[in-house]
Formats: sequence, C-alpha cells, structure tokens
Amino acid sequence: MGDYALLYILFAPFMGAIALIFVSNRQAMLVRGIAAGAALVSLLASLYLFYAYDHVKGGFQFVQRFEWSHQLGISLHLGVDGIGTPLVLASGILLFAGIFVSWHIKDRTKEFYIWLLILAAATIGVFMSLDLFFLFFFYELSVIPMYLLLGMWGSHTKQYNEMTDPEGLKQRDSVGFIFNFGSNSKEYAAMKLVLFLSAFAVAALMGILLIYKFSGLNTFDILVLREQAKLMNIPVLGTTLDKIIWLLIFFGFASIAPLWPLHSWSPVGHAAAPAATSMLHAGVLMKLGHFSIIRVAFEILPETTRELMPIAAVLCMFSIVYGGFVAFYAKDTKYVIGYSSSSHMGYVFLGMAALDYISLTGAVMYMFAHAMATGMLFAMAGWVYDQTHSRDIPALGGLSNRMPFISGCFVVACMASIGVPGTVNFIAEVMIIVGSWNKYPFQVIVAVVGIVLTLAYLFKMMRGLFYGPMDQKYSHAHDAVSLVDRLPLLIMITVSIGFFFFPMHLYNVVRSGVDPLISKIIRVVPVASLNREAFDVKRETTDPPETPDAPLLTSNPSPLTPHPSRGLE
Amino acid sequence: MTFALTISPSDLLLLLPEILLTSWLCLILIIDFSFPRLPNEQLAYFSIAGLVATLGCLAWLDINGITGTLFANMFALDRMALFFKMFIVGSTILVILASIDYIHRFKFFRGEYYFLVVMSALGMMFMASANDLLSVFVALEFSTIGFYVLVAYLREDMASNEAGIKFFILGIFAAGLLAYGISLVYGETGKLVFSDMQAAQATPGLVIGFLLIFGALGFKIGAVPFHSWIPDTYHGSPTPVTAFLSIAPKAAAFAILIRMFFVALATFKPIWALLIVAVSILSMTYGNIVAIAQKNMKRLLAYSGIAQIGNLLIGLATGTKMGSDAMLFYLLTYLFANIGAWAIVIAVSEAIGSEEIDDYSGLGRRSPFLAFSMLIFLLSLAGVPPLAGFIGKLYIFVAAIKEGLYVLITVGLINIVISMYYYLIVVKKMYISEPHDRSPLKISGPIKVVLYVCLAGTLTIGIYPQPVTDWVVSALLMFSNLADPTASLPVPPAVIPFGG
Amino acid sequence: MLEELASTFPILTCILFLPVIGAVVLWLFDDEDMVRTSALTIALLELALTVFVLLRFIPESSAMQFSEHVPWIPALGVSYHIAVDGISVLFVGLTAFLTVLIVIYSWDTVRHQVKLYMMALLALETTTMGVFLSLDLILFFVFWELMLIPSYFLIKLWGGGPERHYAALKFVLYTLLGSVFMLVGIALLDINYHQWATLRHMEPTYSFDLLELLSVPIPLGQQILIFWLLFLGFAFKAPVFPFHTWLPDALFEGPIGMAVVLAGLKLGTFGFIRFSIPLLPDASRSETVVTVIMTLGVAAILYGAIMALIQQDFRRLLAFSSISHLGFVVIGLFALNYQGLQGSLLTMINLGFSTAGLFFIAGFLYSRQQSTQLGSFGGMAKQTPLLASFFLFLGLASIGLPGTNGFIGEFLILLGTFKASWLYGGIAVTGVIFSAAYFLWYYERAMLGPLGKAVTDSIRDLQPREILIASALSVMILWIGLYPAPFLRMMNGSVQALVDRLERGTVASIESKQPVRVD
Repeated sequence: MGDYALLYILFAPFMGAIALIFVSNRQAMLVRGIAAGAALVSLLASLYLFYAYDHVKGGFQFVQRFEWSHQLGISLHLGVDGIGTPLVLASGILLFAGIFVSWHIKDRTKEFYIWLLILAAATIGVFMSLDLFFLFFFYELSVIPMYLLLGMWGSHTKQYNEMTDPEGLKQRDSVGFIFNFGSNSKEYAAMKLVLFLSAFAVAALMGILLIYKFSGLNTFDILVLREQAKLMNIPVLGTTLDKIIWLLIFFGFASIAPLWPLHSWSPVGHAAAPAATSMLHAGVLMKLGHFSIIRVAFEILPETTRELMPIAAVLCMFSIVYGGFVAFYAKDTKYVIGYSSSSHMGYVFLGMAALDYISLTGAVMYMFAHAMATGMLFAMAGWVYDQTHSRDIPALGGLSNRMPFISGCFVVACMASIGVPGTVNFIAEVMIIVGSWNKYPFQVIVAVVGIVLTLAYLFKMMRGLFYGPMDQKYSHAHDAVSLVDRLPLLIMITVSIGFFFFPMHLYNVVRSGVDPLISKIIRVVPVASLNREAFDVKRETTDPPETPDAPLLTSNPSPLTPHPSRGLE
Repeated sequence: MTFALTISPSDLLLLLPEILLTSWLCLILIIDFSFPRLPNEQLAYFSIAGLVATLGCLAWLDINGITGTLFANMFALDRMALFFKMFIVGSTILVILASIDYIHRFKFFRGEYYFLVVMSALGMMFMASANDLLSVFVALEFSTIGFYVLVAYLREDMASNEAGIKFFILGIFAAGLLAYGISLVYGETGKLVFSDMQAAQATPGLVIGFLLIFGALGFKIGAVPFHSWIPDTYHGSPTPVTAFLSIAPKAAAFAILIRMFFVALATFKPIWALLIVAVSILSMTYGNIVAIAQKNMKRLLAYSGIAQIGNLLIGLATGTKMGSDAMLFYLLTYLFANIGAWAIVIAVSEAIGSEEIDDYSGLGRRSPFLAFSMLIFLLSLAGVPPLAGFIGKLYIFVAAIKEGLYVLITVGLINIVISMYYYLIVVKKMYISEPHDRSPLKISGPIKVVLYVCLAGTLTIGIYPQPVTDWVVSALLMFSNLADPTASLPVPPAVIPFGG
Repeated sequence: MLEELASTFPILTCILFLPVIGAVVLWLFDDEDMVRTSALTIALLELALTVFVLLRFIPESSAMQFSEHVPWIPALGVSYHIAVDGISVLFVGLTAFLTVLIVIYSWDTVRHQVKLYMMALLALETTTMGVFLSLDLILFFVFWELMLIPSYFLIKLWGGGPERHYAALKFVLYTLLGSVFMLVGIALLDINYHQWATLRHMEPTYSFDLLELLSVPIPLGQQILIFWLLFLGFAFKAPVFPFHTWLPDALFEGPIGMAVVLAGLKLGTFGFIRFSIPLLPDASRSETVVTVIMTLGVAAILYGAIMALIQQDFRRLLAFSSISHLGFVVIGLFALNYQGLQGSLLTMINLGFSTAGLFFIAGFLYSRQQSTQLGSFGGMAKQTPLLASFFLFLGLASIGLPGTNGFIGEFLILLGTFKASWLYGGIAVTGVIFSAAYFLWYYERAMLGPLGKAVTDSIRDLQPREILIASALSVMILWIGLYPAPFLRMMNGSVQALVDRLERGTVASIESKQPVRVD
C-alpha cells in the first residue's frame, strides 16, 4: 500500500457499495460480508496511515494528485496532515463499528449498507481532500445518503407516533421547519437536515467561488491558494472582501458542526436516524464542519481568522449551555445524546477560537475522542431501541438486569463523554482548558459548567434506562451476547481508553499539523511577506518570535515543539 | 440581393447529414404506406437506424474537421453547429426509443409519428446551422410544424387537444414576433447574416427588433415571461413528445441565441447582459417556486425545466467563451438527466397508467431499478455530486463569477436549495412512503436501453467530465476572441469526442 | 541510598497497583470462599508492603522518599511521579490497614455478588493509594476521579438503605461538581508555570509536577482564585461544612465498608495540606481566606455536633460527628502553625481509627438488629458486654479522652488554634464538650438502662472475627494515645518544611529553590 494508502481508504467503501449493487438482497450474509470487508480494508489502511504518518516531518503526506479538469483548474488532490489523519482514523473505526451495529437490519439490507458506505466514504473524502472543489464535492455527497438513511430506516419520535389524526400528521410533515418541538416524523427530520445543510453549504460554496475569483489563480488547490492567494484589503460593501469570504465559509461550514444558532437540524436528525447513521453523523459528520473551517478558513485566511475567530468564542458558550440544558430536560434517549453532542462541539469551537497551540491540539484530539464516546452512546441507544422499540426514558428502566454488558459499557461511555480520567476525552479537555484560559477564561468556566451538565444528564439517562423498576413488557429484551454485537463497543472502548494511556503519538501527529497553522495565524506580519515562502507541500514549522513582554497574549510553542517526537523518550 | 446558387459536390458534403436524413424521411413514409401490416417497432428501429447513420456522418465530419458555409453564409457548418446537430440527433434517438411502447395509445397514423419526429429533428438541425435571420425563421417554423401535430397527437384526449391549440396559437404569435423583429432588423441594418451585423449601431429600431427576436426565441426555450404555454402543453401532449419538446428545440434555440448574441451583438454585451440576467433570475425563481406546489409529475418536470432554462441563461449572460462552454456542457448534462426522467415517467404511466406524484409511492419497492434511476436523474437535475448536473451548475457558476455576476450566482445557489426540496419530495414518495399495491412493475427493453444510456451519461460526465469539457471547449473555439479571463491560459488541443 | 532502593525496586508502584491486579485475579475465581481468602491475602500483602515502607521511611525528614518518576505526556508536562513524605506516608499505612479490616468484616456480612464487591473494594484501595501517593497533579486528579467509579457501585449495589441509588448518584455528582473546578485550578497552576518557564526558557515548558510548581511565584490575586477553585474540589470531598449534604446519605445508605473508607480516610483535608497550602502559601495566609475557612470550620464543629445530638440513627450520628471532627481538622490546618498542622494531620489519622471503628461497631449492631435506629437498641450491655465495651472505648477515643489517640490530636489542634486566635479556639473547645454529650447520651440510651423491646435474648455477642477487628483498632488507638512519638516523628520533617514554606511564601522562594526538597 504505502503511498496509495489514501486511495485505499477512500475508494474501498465506494467499491464495496458498487459491489453490493450486484448482490441480491436474499443473500443477507454475503451483503454484510462485503460491507464489512470494505470497511475493514478502509480501517486497516487508515490505521496504517495513522501510524505511518511522520510527525517529525509534518506537513501534508501521502499526497496524491490527478488532473481532473484543467478548464476549471480542478485536480483530485488528496493528502493528510496531522489534523486530517486522526479524523480519517476515527471515520474508519466508526464505519467498521457501524457495519456491525446495524448487523440486524432486515429491511432492504443491501441498500442500507450501500448508502452507509457512500456516506462514510464521502466523509473520509472531505478529511483528505486538498482541493476546495473536492472538499465541497465530498461534503455535498455526504448529505444525500443521510436523507435516505434517515428516511428509509429511521424512526419517528414518540410524540409523533402518538399523534393519530392524519391532518395533524400532514401538518407536521409540511413546511413547518424552524419551529418544531420534538414531535416530528423521520421524513420531516430527513428533509430538514438536507435543506439546512444544503442551504449553508451553498453559502460556503459562494465563499469558495469568491476565493477562486479573487485569487485569480484559476485553481481550487488549497496549497496553492494558501501560499499565493492575495485576498486581504479588498474593499467591498463598506468592509473588506476577506471578511465576507471568511463569514461565508465559517457559517457555511459551522452549520454542520453544529454551532449554536444553526444547530436545530442536528438533534432531530440524530433522533430519527438508525443507530449506525447516528454514530457516523455525530461521530464524524459533525466534525466536517470544524475540519473544513480549519482547512479552508484557517489555511487560506489566517489574518482574518485571527480577527474574526472571537465570534466562535462567543457562540460556543451558547452551544455548550443551551445544548446541555436541553439535553437535561429531553425525554428521548437519542435527543439527549444528540444535544449533548452539539453541546460538546462547543468545546471544539472554544479550542479553535483560542488560536493557541495547546488548545487547537486539544480541540482536534477532542474531535477524535468525542467520535468514540458519542459513537458508543448512540450504538447503545440503538441497541436499547432495537430491544424495546422505545426511546422514551421515562418508559424505560431497570434494563441493567436484562442487559448487564450493555449497561456496563454504558457507564464507560458516559465516563468518556463526560471526560472522566481514564478516557482520552479527559486529556483533550484538559488541553482545551489549559490552552484557552489565557484568552477566554469566562468561556472556560462556562465549559466547566457544561461538563457538570453533561454529568447530570448522562447520569440521569443512565438511571432512567438501566436502573430503577423495569416495565415487564421489556422482559424479552436481551443483552448483546454474540461477538458481532459486542465487537463495535469493545473496539471503541479500547480506543478511547488506550489513547488515554498512550496519547503521545496522537498528540504528536495532531501537534505537527497544528504548529504551522497556528504559528502562521498568530504571527503578526503583512500578508505580502507570506508569499515569499516558496510553495512547498511539506513546510517546516516556523517558530513565531518570542514575545516575553506579553506572554498572556499567545503561549509560544516551546523550543521543543517543532520536534514533537521529543516526547517519546 | 442575389444568391449565386452554384453548388459544388464539396458544398454538398457540408449538407450530407441533412440530405441523408431527408431521404430517410421519404423512405419512412414509403415503407409506412407500402407495408401497412408492418409492426411499428420495425418502423421505429428503421428510423433509428437512419438517425444513427446521420449521427455517424456528423461525427465523421467533426472528426475530419470539415466546416464551411453555404448559400452566402445562410447556412454555416462549424463545430458548434456539429455539436448541436449531434446533440439533437442523439436526443431524437433516445426519444424514439422511449416512445416505442407508448405508440399503441395512438389509434391512427402510427407511422407518421416517426416521420414527424424525424422531420422536426431535421428542422432543428437546420436551426443549428442557421447563420442568418431568414434561415433562422425558415428552420424555426419548419421544426415547429412537426410539433404542432405531435403535441395534439392523442386525438381523443381533451388535454392533448387543448395543449395543441395553446401551443399552436402561441407558436404562431412567436412566429409573428420573429418575422416582425427580423424585418425591423433588416430595415435598420440592411443585413441578414449575423456576422455582417457586428459593426451596426444601436438604433431604437434595431434594439426593438432584437428584443422581438429574443422574445420569439424566449417562447421556444420557454423562459419566463414567455413560459405560459409550457405547463399545459407538457402536461397535455403525449409524454414522449413532451420529452422531445423539453430538450431538442431548446437546444436548437440556444444555438441561435448563441450565434445572435455572441456574433451579431457581441459589441452590445453590456446592454443585453442585463436583460438576460433579469430573465434568468425570473425563470429560475418562478420555475422552482411553482414546482414545489405540483402534484403531477409532468407538470413538476415542466416547471423544473423552466428553472433549468434559467440556469442555462446564466451562461448566456456571461457573454464569455467560458460561459458558452458551460452552456453547452450544461445542455449535455440536462439532456441525459431530463430524457431519463421523462423515460421513467413514460414507463411508470405505462405500468400504472398514472402520472400523479402520489402514485410513485413505494416505487423503490416495486421497481428498485426505476426508482434508483429516477433518484439519479432528479439529483442530477438538482445538482448534487457526483452527478453531471452538479458539474454543469458549477461550470456555469464559475464562468459567471469570473464575470462578477454575484447577484445572479446568489440567486442560482438559493434556487439549488429550493429545487432540492421538491425533487426530494419525489424521492421521499419513491423510497420512504409505502406503496399502495406492491406488485412489481415491468419495464420494456427499449426504455431500459434509454435508462442505461442516460445513467451512463449522467454518472460518467459527473465523475470524469474532462473529455466532455474538452469537446465543448473545442466546439466553441471560434468564440475565443470574446473577453474571457481564462483566455490567456493555454487552451488544450481539441480531443475528438466519441473516442476518435 | 533510598533513591537507589526505590529505583531498583519500585515498591510504591507495587503498593499502588497490587490491589487492582489482585482484583483482576479475583475475576478468575468462582468459588466465593476462594474469592474471600484471596482478597484477604492481597490486602494483607498490601499491608505488609506498606509496613515495610513505614519501617524504611526516614523520620524527621521532609524529603520525598521512594520517589518514582516516569514521563507520561511529556509535551504537556504530565508525568507518573509518585512518592511519600511525612504527610502522606501514614495515610498509605492507614488505607492498607483499614482495607484489611473491611475485607475481614465483609467476610460474612456481604452475601450477594461477593466477587464484584471484593473487586470494587480493591479497585477502591488502588485509587485511594493513588491519591495519597501521586505528586503530579494530573495523576492525582486521575485517581481522584477514578475513585468515584468503585465507590458509586459499592454504594449502589451493596448499600443497605432504600435510597442507595439516589445516594450514590448524589455522592458522585457532588464530588465531580467540585472536582471540575479543581481541574480548572490545576490548569491555572500549569499555565502559571508555563508563563514563568517560557520567560526563562526553561524545560519543560509545561508541568503539573508538585515539586516543579512549588518553585513558581504566583501573584496573590491568581493565588486566591486558584485557591478557591481547589478549595471547592477538596471541600466537596472532605466534606467541609456547607458542602456536606451528600455525606449523611452516602454513609447511611452505603455499605459499612464504604462508610469506613469515606469517614476514615480524609481525602479532602489531605488535599489541603498536600497541595493548597504548600502551592499557595500567600493565599492560605491571606486575611479573607483564613477568616472564611476558620468560620466554616467552627460552624462545622458546632453544626455537626448539634445535628449529631438529635439523631436517632447511629450511622447518621456518626456522619454528623465526623463532619464536626472535620471542622477540627480544618481549623487546625488553617491555624497555619506547627502545632495546628501537626495536630490536624494526626487527627486525620486518628479518625481513621476511631470513627472508622465506630462504623464497624455500627456494622456489628446492624448485623444483629438489621437496623441502626435507636429504637431497636436498649440495654444491650447486659446481652453483649464485649460489644458494649468496645463501643464505649472507641467512642471515648473519638471524643478525645486522655490516653486515647483522639486526645493528642485535638489537644494539638486546640493549642495551635489558640495560638492563632483566642476566638476560634474558644468556640472550638465547646465542640469537644458537645461531642462528649452526643456520644455518651446515645450510648447511654442504646446500651445501658432497661432491655429494649427489639432486643431479643438470642442476640449474640461479638464473634471472633469481629473481636479481631475491634481489638486491632483498639491497639492502634492505645498505641497512638500512649506513645505517639513515632508517628509524630514521621510527620515532623514535612510539617516543619510546610511551616517554613508558609513563612517564606512563594515570592521569596525563587532564589532559595524548592524549599521542600531537603535531600
């Protein structure tokens, strides 16, 4: 494999999906086998990628470049840096786990796995594309499978099922979008999700097109634009162009993250989606937002990022607190987890907003950690739903007697989601807190309160599901006994705990991606001098000048950080 | 003026495809009335054979780069004309294939059906290379006459007759506009050939004349505010005819529009650009918003067609070479997605005898293949990667943003989202809603072929558009003089389409 | 020389991880007696190791001994750094000692899911040891949080009360609530170090190591902020007076074993003396902090005592009495002088014997009457003389009768407090009287007088196993009470260093680098 690792990771799922087209739905085992095989290839390749990534060299590695359309200046340009690598790995793991979580789907198994594989492949594609066009290409590509997965294999909410009159149902599904109080059909959820994401995606596309025009380079290549695009100080509409572009890009992508005012599609979607889809959705799809912002806004508009990133710092507080409270009062397991995820994404935004080496590293590590934690939670919520056909917390209870294994894993998942020591989430949280304090102490306090909230609602849900009296109609519910059912949970738990004890490689990899980015952003220089740097794919990290007089502004990278390998002795 | 009608064999070579097709037309007629017993499938395949031959001929001309003009520049055969002719012939082939098992609905004149289709195809081929106002008028009417009949082909069906009348009256009105516009222009400039008018001054008469011509062509392409005949005509007329009507005449009309605006009016670009921007915005927005409310598949596709025309006009509004490239590219993507969608409408209405969207419920269970193809075509129309429609839209937007048409692009982007809504409503019906009866649908062979071709086109163009872009770029090399930011870039050597 | 010993044989690591490894081993067994015996052996082995450490420990020195240092996340300055000094060494011994007793006690009292119970208990021991041993703040935090998991399940699954689920949740939530603030405090310490180190281009630029952080001067304002953040963490755990509400529930609903650990091992106050005071001396000395905490301490003494006075249930009485005792410890700590610190340190150890002992007594009563309500006792002294006498002895120890260990501790604390301020001392003294009151009154009603209705003749006196527990505790109590010198000598060095640190403050400590490290 070697250099072609990225191609394996990206195209294995696609190939799997194509292969599945030619298999009959009657051979269920064969269908699952093909899907699992494709996912396994992708997983192994991404593992190889993760450990073969040379963090001392840093920069973009495993680069692949194919001319795609020279009229438009588009090329299929793939490559990962320290930020993309762990996310690719996370996607690989969650896809593999998701295949097994949805092992028991009976209805149209083949189609399900086709769309699941396409979804995952598209997500992976975003994480490794170095071309604005393909970044958007894969980003859009990941939306439509969500629609079908939600619509065809999703589930209605309890309130919806309780609504009997057909008129009421019609109204629910009709255009009632923005205000909807948790009682909606899966069709509604799916449509809302797609329209929300597409609407903001086109905003991002507008930003991309503007970059394309005003760079005047007739290319979508991020690496070229990053070095040569001169977008600063072009006055338009009473402000400067770069600000407009930045806002378009930021909010366009922040909608999938989801940042506070733009979040409302997300929990609805989570709730309606089948387990595996929620896992991918909350685990990696959300991270597309942060990742794209880092890859596009941070890389191409560093100066503007430094100017405007406080926006994120303000909004993330609302994300954290709002999401936390709603999750606390929600009655539906998947709503709780969904809101908790959108609340946790606030931490990532905080870490990004601080524009600090440690905090951004923490943010990226948190994305990885959160993928595992939320993946576990959704997998188990899905299991409980499959067993009891209810997501209604008050109705459930006492399941720990029926499913000891699941309830045990659930404790671990909660611990991970809270960020209790013993899981990699803890390290990530500490880094975000340490890194962000100098700039945003207040937000850090809010984030800490958010942790307490997380604690409260997760324990609340755990009690509601697994302890207390059990309704006898759930007495048929059984535990995950077969290896197939246990494997996904075990994988994710192992990863989550393993990286707590051996976090150095993850840290180094991420750090090698973060260092050049931050040093480019926090360095106060006119844009012109940036262009003097020769255009090369693998840039050495550059030390920003020491500023001992004002240490509170930016925590400089220590002399050792350009060579993060030093950690390994 | 006097025409020196000295036609040499080499000139006839330029007319070869048209001559071929004309003779084939006569053959079709003769065979039809000499063998009345002949099952109409045979006739269909016969006419398809002729069209394929024509296509091959066109391809041959294109490969050998044989171009030129005839009849004092009235008839121009350049690579753009060739492109449009291939486009038209190709779409005609697909339409005839798709209509084979629809034919039995016609009580009489089954043979003439093919005759008429091929005849209007011939007329459109002339439109494609019409290089002066007279030939524009003649070719336009020639092609339209066939449609007047075709639209009203279901004689017992009131809707069909109504459609026929509407189409006829408005068509005649458009013809009147066209004639009046032509006379005004001729009166002002004394010229008929587009290429001669370039130096003309913008006198009021000239402006009005071109406005009238644009209006007439607007009727052809059905852009707002000239769209009023579209929904009813599409709804009423036989579905294969609708499919034909929805793609081929529009392409031919665009050929004329491109010639007129890029050649004759290149100097007045700042003026007409605004006009077209306005029309395009209206078409996109109106088409998409009204489409949301539709309950009938044909009407939905009709309105979405109006919106698509709006998208195409963005490319025209740029007035650059890249814009025209994008238009041709978009037309190709539109061809496959559109004909595919119509073919499915035909198949479904054959199977369950209904075109209501509600009756598409559970298509995903009744016929996975039809549902999947419909999904692909609709998403391509909506512009979702990795399908052709996405590339087409992006191509057009890139061309437009280079011209700085920000408002237009913003509206276009918003419209993508709106259109996604009603396309997804259909998808929801097909995949999520449960079917009324679960009996599987049977699809006839020809339709399958059409669907396979269209799927292949949609997917390949979407995944690897390079050859197609090369083709359209080389087809329009004659416009590389037009202001274009990318003109400085090295234009690649034109590669031969169809794997030459 | 000791360093070499430690480097050659990582005894603390063994102490730290022996129980959890033992827990894994237990998992393999199925036979319950097998489980019990092996659990006991592990606990005894652990005790033996700690005793060895106690013997090899050099008294009268403030050095960090047996220290082991392995980098864990170097880039963040997180390292696996464990050691013992005069402050922590006794707690290590105490933990091992109590665990053994708990295992013995649970021998026949815990009947369902014995294996899980023992595993949880041993896991708990590891985490507790971790809290006492770690010098790296992150490592400390890790164990601090991990402690909750076994505790949660111990209370939830083996608790006696009907509300045990609620109690377990309350306990976890409160502690975590505090500890997240503590986490911020730790992060702030790290940030301070980072700025200080980067200005001097020192390696490493991040560090959570106690000894490294000690050398950082922190502006007073920051110190006070950090102090309160840490305070929240420790106060919830201790629990200091207004944060105590989870304690009675947890002690009442939870199993006796858990209660012994919660009431016997004063983790919260240990946190103060281990981290808050040495790291933030200026803040600890500052006027407001001292006043607030002293007031809280005094309030705790009185509140706890009065509440204890009116309790009908013996375990709730003990809960409030231990709140009251914690008040003593706190005021002793924040008297901030030699006697005070030494006294409260010793008292923490004492409570480990006396209060924990009383909980064992409660357990004995419970196993006889299936309740610890006053109503179910009465005049039991006739039936169960041994039980009654041990009960009395341990009670007197917790009151602080001269001759028992309690006396030494409280005497030192009061001495220190009076040195600090007459007012607090004056109020604190009344606490002693109160404690005598509530204990003796309850004892009189429960053990003496006419035979209670609920008390049957068939009630058994202490069994050999119980006698073993009670006498072991009594021996320790008498030892400290009559000959405390060895224990005090172990503390002295570190306490002295602490007092110096307090006098110098951080600002001065830059030139004299790292005052605590004497070796």
